[in-house]
Amino acid sequence: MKPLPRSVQALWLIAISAFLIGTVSTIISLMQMKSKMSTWHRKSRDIYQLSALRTERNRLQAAMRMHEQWRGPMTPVQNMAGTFFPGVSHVNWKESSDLLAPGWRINRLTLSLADVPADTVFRFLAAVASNNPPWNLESGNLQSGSASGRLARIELTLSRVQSPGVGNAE
Amino acid sequence: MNYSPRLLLNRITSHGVDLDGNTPIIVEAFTRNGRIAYRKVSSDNSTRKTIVASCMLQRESFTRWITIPLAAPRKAIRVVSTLLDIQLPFALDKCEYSVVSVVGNRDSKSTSALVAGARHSEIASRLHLLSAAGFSPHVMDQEGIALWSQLIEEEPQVTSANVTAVLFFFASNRTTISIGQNGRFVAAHSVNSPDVSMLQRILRPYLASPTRSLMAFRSGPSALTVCTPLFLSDLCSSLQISEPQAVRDPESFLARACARRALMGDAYQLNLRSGKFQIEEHKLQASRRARHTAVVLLLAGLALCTSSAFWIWAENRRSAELQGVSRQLAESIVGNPKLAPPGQELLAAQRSIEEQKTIYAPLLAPFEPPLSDVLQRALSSALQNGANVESMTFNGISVILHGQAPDWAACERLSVALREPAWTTRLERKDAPSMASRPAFVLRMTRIP
Repeated sequence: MKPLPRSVQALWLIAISAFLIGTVSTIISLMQMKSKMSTWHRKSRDIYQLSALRTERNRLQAAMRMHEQWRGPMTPVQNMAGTFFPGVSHVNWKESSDLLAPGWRINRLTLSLADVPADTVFRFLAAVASNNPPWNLESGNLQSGSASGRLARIELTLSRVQSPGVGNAE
Repeated sequence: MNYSPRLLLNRITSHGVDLDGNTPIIVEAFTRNGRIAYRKVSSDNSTRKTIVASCMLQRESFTRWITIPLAAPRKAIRVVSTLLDIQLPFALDKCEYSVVSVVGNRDSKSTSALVAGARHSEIASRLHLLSAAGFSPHVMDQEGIALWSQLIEEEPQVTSANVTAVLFFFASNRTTISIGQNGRFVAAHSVNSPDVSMLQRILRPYLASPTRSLMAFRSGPSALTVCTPLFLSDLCSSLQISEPQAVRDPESFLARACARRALMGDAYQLNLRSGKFQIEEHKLQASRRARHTAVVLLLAGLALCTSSAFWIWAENRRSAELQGVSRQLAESIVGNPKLAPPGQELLAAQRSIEEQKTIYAPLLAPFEPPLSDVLQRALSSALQNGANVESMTFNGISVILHGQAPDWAACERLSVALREPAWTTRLERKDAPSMASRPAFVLRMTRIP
């Protein structure tokens, strides 16, 4: 059989090269596809988790902004206690203040009362929580008294965050 | 070896040309309803869609069965030329030849190859004769093999086992004998004149076996004139065979063979118009086919390359997109992009949020359900269930109630009443003072993070 013309031989050479390169690259692509899919799946899961974390951060930032806006006049807790628990003379007060972050402080107030009506305690807590910024009930304990609806002794720890630039009004 | 010229040339009809002396016998072959049909034509009216086929006469060419001591046909074909060169009385490079058939032998250790060929001078001479008669055939068949092949086609009973078949082809200038056994071509011979003694000498070795049944056929343009009752009687008595049976339309038998084989191809396909005799159209066609195949291969290769490149591009783009989104989110959480190295975005973001939460958790307290509500509900539920709460200790994550109830069922009702999505409850029995008639309990409530 006579050899093919040079142009056809060259075309064959190029064609075979292209086919081989194409085949090899396709095989490599197919081999990598599984691991790539797995990477994408993991990345998508990460993004989902990152979105949840960003929501969490947004909540924190919204809370910070809210605290920064709370700059109104505040009624001192001692005055409110006097209003809610008239005649209760043996109130023990303990105050402390800690640095939360640069410019941010947390003030704590622990008060102990004895023989007070339970519903008045809860109204007192609701009243201090409506301050701007609010006093939050952080911890405590209570012991019921003998008479129904009265508490023999309560100890409450209230906390309040103080945003930067706000002095302690109390 | 077994190629179909029709496929090569993409033709739809063929002309078989047999020169009886200077008289051409032309048969046109074509397919009708999937079957081959023939039509005698008076002159070559071939078109671009017609293959023209003729043949080298038996006396101008050769056929050989060569035994090769190799079992694998592919290997056997490679050594055919060497063995053939030894057997021929002239140089093989002065010939065109074709390996027509390769069969494994019964011993499974050797192979037999049927080779047909002709010297260049004979081919040139035959082509010259055909050209003078106005023909330029695309295919040059071999007479003996073509005759046998056509006999199998038209008289299929010759393929039966233990049958030796002899076909006499009587032409004005020669008599050709084609011999086969069990449907397989064995040999072909040619003599100038139909001399009975010469025919007897040629055929005797093939007719020696008494166990074989013998079938004889006659054909050729001179079959009717040569085969007089006297000749046939002589032939039958000397060879001890029955009278040769005339084939259908004996005159055009060889032309039919050439035409059919060129159009349809068969097991004994060959074309001696090859090498230096190959017509330009064939060369161009072969070159065109090679180019076409190369282009198809090139396109396939380019398609594969393109699809791979597209995949790589799409893959990189998708990865970059995901990485970009991930990074953007991490930066919005961490704040400083340097804190989140590539691939570590989630970890960096989780650490950052944990740190921020540790510091700023008290900021969120005003936005959580107030702890006082939980305490109030616990006290009122206890009252409803007749329980007496002795003490209650609490902080941001847990509330512990100590008390007494009328019975244990009341304690459990209290536990169920205080259960809610944000809090879990665990009820424990407490050792009560020996004089107490009411069961004492400890109810622990824990906030779910």
